[in-house]
Amino acid sequence: MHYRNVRIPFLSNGKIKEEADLFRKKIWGDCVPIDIERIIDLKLQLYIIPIPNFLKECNIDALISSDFKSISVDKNEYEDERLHGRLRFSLAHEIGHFILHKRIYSSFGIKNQGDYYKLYEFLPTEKINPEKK
Amino acid sequence: MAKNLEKFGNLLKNLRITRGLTLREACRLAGYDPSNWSKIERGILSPPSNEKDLKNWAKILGIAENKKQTQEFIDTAKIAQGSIPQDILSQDVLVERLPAFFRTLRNKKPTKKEIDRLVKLIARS
Repeated sequence: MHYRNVRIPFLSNGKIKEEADLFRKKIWGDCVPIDIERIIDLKLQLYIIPIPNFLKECNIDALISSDFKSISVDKNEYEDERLHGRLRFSLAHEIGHFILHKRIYSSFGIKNQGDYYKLYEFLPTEKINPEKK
Repeated sequence: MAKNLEKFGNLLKNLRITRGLTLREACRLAGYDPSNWSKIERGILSPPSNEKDLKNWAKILGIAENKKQTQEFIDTAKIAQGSIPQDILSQDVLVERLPAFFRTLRNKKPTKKEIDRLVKLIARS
C-alpha cells in the first residue's frame, strides 16, 4: 500500500453530527442521559481496558485499538468519579473513530508494525489539510 | 492453557453482559480490580483460585441459583488456572492419570502411605 496516495475524506461538523445522531438513535434511542460506557461495554461489547499510569506515562486519556475491539483508558480516570465527565467525553471521542474511521483504517491494510510506522510517516497531512479549507 | 484462559474469559464476559453489568459495576460488586477483571475476560490472566471468590462472582453474575451452571463456571475457572477440579479428579480422570506400572527406588512394593502421597501429587499437578 502506498500511504502517500491515501486520501482522507473531509467530514463537516454537520455530517459528523448527522452520523452521531443516527448511531445514538440506533443503539440507544431518545432517552437521556446517554450512558456511553454502557453502550461500549454492553451494546457494542468492546473491551474496556483500564491501564495504570496511561495518562501520566503516555499522555493519553483513551485509545481505540486497531482491530476496533477494545478501548484502553487511564485507570486513574476510570476509577476517580471526579474525572468521569472527562472519561465519558474520551470514550465518546473513541466511538467517533469507531463509527467514522473503522472502514478507512481497514483499507490501509496494515499487517505489521512496519506498515504501521510507514502509515504515520507517509500519510500526506499536507494534502488532507487543504481539503479541509 | 491459553485456550482455556480464553474460554473462561469469554464465559465471564458473556455472563456479565447477559446480567447487564458493566465492567465497572461488576468490579464494584465483587470488590475486584477492573484492570485484572478485563485481563481475565481477554484471556491473559488466570481467574481467582479461591473457590469462595468464584462462588461470589457466580452470585454477582446471577447464576448462583443454578447449581449446575455455577459448578460449570467454577470448573472452567479451575481448568483455566491449569488445575483440574477436585471432584472430577476424584473420579475418572485421576484414575486415568495414575501410572499403570512404576518402579521404586529399592525395587520394593510401595506402602499405602507412599501411594497416597503419589495420588495427591498427581491430583495437584
